[in-house]
Amino acid sequence: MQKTKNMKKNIRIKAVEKSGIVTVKALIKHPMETGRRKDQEGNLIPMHHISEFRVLVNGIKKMDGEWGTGISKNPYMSFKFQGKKGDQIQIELIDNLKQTSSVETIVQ
Amino acid sequence: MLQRRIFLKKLSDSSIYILAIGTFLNYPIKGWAKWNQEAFQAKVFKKSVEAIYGSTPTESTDQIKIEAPDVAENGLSVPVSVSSSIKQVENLSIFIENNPLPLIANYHLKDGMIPEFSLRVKVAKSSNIHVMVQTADKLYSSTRKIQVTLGGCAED
Repeated sequence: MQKTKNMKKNIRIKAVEKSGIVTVKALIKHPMETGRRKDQEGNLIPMHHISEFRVLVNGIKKMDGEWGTGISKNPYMSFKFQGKKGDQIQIELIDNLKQTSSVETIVQ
Repeated sequence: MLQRRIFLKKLSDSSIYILAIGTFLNYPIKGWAKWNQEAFQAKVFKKSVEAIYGSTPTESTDQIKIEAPDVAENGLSVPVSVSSSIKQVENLSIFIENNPLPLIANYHLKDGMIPEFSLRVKVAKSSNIHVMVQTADKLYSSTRKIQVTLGGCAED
């Protein structure tokens, strides 16, 4: 069975358990435009950033969060929770243009 | 013949409505936390804190650790790690005081989550990073200074 599922192939994720603590590291492909940057013609590039995400472990919501434009382009995120090998993790993202993305993986 | 045409027209009209309603219901409104617009659009650090925590008094603590380079060469991507030994953390938020919009991230933690996060942030110019941690009955904060040699919110 596939360890990681990411339909849009825009999220890389790794989840490892050690001593009852699972560390998850994810790298997300996203421009995270602040809306204050200008293109070569001097036009403002519209704001486009991940606004919310949530983390589910074995189908239960463990955490949710909101991000502003201060998060860097192609966000890296890392978080920890009490868990075990075989736990199923799901991260779901939505951006300010209402585009969604998600990834699933199994804790190693 | 006319009856059939009328019937078919009525059928196609209603199917458009059904299609429209169906699309609307697929729109993922439900289930997402409400993005705190007031907090994320606040231009002043104090206002962004108030927008999340109201007038809850804050206690400075050394139980929140902020790891970040003392001097960041590239303000567009500064690695920051925050961790706390405080128990039963329900909320953790990160601010960069001198950024055009100080609120960076706001996390809501359920049972079993450990208050330890790493992320990469934009730092516009040398600034204080503030981390606030909230439990059921208290609000704590910690601060760290960070300098940038090349600001991270400037136009490219």
